[in-house]
Amino acid sequence: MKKTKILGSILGVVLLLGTFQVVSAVDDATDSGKTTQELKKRIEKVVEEKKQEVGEVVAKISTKKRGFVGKIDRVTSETITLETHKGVLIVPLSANVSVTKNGKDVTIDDIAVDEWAITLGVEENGTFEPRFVLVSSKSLRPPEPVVLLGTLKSLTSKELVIVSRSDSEEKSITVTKNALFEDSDGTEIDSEMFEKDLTVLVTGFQDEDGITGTTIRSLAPLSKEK
Amino acid sequence: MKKEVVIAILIGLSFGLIITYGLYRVRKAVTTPNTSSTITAPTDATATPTPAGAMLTILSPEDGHVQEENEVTVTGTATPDSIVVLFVNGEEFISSADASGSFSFTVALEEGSTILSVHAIDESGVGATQERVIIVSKLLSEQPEPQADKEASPAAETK
Repeated sequence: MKKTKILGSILGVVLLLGTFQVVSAVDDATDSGKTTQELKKRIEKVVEEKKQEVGEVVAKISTKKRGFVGKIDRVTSETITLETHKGVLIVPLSANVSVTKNGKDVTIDDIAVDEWAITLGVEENGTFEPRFVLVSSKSLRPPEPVVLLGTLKSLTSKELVIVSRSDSEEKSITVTKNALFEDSDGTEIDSEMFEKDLTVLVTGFQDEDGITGTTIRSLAPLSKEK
Repeated sequence: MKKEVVIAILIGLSFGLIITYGLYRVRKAVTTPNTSSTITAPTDATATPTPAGAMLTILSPEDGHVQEENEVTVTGTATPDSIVVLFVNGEEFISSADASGSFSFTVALEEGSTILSVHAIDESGVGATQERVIIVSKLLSEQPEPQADKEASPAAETK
């Protein structure tokens, strides 16, 4: 009988403790539910706040400042046509578009074909709306840059001949007094340090007269060798 | 004695059921899904994917970019370890792409338009070129918003 009582008591205590745990767990769950609701409300509030900010940013992105540079190909009373490096751009000249030439306000009659122009405006949803046209009598395009990699064949004070690594062709390059001769790390060195069969990088520009080298750089370190 | 044991077991079972129900409630409360509030991550509009086979891609600046600052950072990707040359305003800057192909230059700009020309050349002498037009101007910031309607100011068209 005693054993049964003891057993029953132990069982009762264990079950009572279990019940406490359950009650506590339910309380926790209720608290957790409340927290979730609060978090949800807070997140929704933040989302609402951020929506406005995102909207402003999106509006900023969809309206951006743009500019084009090109040679004037055609001029009419209402438009000028520019040849840009990306293609042809027709710029409408409305009352809102300010046209200047060499810093002074001009009219359409003062603009000539083959002159250069920068047009500034805003791009909204992919459509460019010009605000300014800045005309220049001088070309706004620099001479065509050239980069060559090859083996030095000959070098004089006026000319450099290299065998191009890409097509194995000989390239004759004009060397001016201003040309820089550089070591592999970019430090300026004497042109006399350049010997035949040296691998060189030549940068410069190309025009109707040919290639003019402005920087001749050795790819192998020269000053350390000496 | 047997009777008492049976009663004790029944009491135990009852409490067991209560505990199980309690656990069920707890689990349900914890796993209740929140009302969904989706925030769509903005897509990265600035990153330009490198097309397959391309040796040179300029990531920034964007072509036709207008800014007021007299300095720009040109970044991009090229063939890993290739030589990269930036031509700007009659000056050239020689650098090289790193092992991952990334390169970066920070150069000064003059007021007006600048054509940035980037050349990459690999060890076999094969090169690639990319250009960007960038304009330094305060005109657009100084100008008030135009009041004209769309008819008076038709948009430019590209062919």
